[in-house]
Amino acid sequence: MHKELLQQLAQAVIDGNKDQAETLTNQLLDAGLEAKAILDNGLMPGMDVVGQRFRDNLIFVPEVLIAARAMKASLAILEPLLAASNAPQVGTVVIGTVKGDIHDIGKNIVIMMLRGAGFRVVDLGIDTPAEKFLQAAREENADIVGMSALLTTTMGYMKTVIERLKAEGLRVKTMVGGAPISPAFAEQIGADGYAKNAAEAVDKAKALLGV
Amino acid sequence: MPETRFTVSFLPGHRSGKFPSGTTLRDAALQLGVLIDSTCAGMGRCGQCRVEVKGPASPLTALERELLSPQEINKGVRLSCQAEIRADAVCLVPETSTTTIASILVEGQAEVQEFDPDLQLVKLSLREHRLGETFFEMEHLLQVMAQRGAPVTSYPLSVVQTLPQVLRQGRDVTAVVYRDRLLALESGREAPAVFGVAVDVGTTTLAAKLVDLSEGQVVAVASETNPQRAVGGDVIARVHYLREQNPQNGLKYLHRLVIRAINTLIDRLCEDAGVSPDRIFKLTLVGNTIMQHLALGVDPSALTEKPYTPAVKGPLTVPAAELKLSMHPQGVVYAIANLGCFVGSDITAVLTVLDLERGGAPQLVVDIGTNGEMVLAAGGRIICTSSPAGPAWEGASIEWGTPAVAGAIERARVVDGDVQFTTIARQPAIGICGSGLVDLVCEFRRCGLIDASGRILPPERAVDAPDALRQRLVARESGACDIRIAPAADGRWILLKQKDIREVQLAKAAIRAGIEILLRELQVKPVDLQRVFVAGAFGNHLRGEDAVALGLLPEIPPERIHFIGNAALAGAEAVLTSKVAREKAEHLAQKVAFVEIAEKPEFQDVFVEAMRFPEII
Repeated sequence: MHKELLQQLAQAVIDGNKDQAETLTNQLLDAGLEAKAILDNGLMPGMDVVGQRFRDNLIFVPEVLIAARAMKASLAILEPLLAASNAPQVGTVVIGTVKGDIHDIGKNIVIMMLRGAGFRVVDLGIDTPAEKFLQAAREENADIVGMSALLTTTMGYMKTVIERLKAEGLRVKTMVGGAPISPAFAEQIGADGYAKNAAEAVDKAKALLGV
Repeated sequence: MPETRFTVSFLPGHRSGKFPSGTTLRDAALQLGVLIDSTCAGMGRCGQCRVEVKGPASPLTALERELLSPQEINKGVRLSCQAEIRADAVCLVPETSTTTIASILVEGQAEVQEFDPDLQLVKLSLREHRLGETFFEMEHLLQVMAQRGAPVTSYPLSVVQTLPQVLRQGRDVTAVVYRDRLLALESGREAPAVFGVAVDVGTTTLAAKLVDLSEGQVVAVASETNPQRAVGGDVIARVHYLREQNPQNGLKYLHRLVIRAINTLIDRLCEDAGVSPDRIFKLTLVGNTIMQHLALGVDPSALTEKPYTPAVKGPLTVPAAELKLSMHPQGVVYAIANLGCFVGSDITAVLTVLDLERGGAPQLVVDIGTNGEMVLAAGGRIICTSSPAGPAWEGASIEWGTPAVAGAIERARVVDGDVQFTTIARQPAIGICGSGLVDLVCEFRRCGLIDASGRILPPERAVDAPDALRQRLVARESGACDIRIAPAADGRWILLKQKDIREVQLAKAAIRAGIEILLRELQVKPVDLQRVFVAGAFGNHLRGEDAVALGLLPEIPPERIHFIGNAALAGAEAVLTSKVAREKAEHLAQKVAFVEIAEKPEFQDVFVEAMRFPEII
């Protein structure tokens, strides 16, 4: 019975059916399932499929965002329960578009995928200065600092952030991504990880944390 | 130990130089002035800078292994941004890496402006000095000109310097006057005709017209690939180059490249028309904001980073000599004013040849390119914005994409259930250029091969598509499908890939989102748009119904869509030949308000919504 409902929840996320996702989440909770189990066995498998299809170009940004909307609706119900239960998170990521850059669609998709994979994500928004990355990394006890840039002229700022994090002695992994970023650039600026797209970002984040 | 330097030469053209070990072939080429296309600014992503290297070089990089085919690797093909010099080498630059655009548009349709240039020839007869009076030639000349209704408030020293020599040949003279500035003095009343040049500095292409300013006739037209392509395909890549890759001399280098290209154009125009460059007294310059900054030698870096600050709006009037342009040394360059940070003087020029203020009926102007610009006029207001569409229209981010060169698939239609296409210059197909891409996507969408979400349907789901088209589908392991278009010379298939559709969706959504935000801003419904003007060379290859089918333009009757070609150059010409047009351009530059769409909270939703294709009616 649970199994079937969980599968339906995964499908609701894949189809981007927000109302259905909400209803199923409540049904599962009523049936006595724990929030963590619903996240792990309903939402996450659903978002996995979405991520894979996005990576394969079978679906595109609008479909991902619609799926994300459904996931978000379910998460909104689960999150207070997750926080209360102290269930272990996969990890905490603070993420933002770097200073000078105001493009955030790609970053927002990464956030959705990470949340769908069970990460706690703190979104710093756009045009984020190094200080804000530093402060958030400290206050949120982040495992990973993620940076996004769309312009070749702003991607250089990632290096500034990484250098500041190192100078302050923060023990946190760094990940970069965005249209102009290449693996070679990521390596050159000393980033711990690079991902070509949102689905890859999840794999990379997991790999960096060894989960 | 002295640095080891190796000789590298580039063919064809036989340019060579000595470079230290470790220099990339791209840097060597740039230093030698060998122009190899480099859309991604040397990041190793676009794969356009292929060269064939004879001689040892650094080992292949991972990026090269990804982008080069095994056959290419066997032949010694390298990416010039990746390969570093290790020994003497000869590099063969293939034709495909040095683009000459085949179909460049120079004609724009424009409203005819009255011929009344700011540049005038004033014919004068000066009287002799009578012994005993206080008489100075120059002051006398100025007095006569004022009496003739051509008052002069400034003149260069060179006019005074030539005055005695001119007067030795007689007291009849011709003054060349730009507004209230005396530019030159010539002997006789039958001075040869004076000319002006209108120049549109595009990111990809420069186009120019030579106009007889005594008669008002266009006497020659020419266009030229922008040599800055060797540094980067788009304006952002060029700014990246001058900031990061060559902070010392990058600005000077990019500036000189544009000036050299303009001078090449002027020389060609003059040769065609049998005119001497020193008969050119006026040049009007338009371009997008960054191109105009670079043409004027002004650093545009601040434009690419928040809060996006252009150095100058203009209009600027500059002595030709300051820009080292190949025209009369006292000639003037009039750079038309920009409208907003990414809406440049090229758009001001386009608006100059349209009549947006008449009647107050909503009218929309869209310039489709790597950067899209949109202008909306309604209810007495005119607002504009810009939106980065990316290089898909130029084929750059498309798997089998190519610029509009010979062999590019430029037109395609589904006829009798299968696709038929034509290539530029009727050459064997080498790839797909922007117009071909639009045709293919629209046709496949209409035939049910692509759904509204942009997915190429697998054969079992593309039930509405004709059999011959379904047989062109190639299913990948992931479930994604590509479409076979035509065999290439090497036996592989030229494909339209699922990934390419995504690129088209991004590019068209950027343009459409800009339009939607403007429409909301002035509360105009698409159906109320009385006229929609599509400018730009790419727009000219579009069909109205395709632009709507793609969702690039809102749903409006196709007959309201007008394609006006390179109206920027037409506008530059209007400003060159008509004082009224110049004043109109100056008025518009003050009137048109810039809207920053990315700052709008609804932008993201609008943009994402615009990625889908409209339903087929």
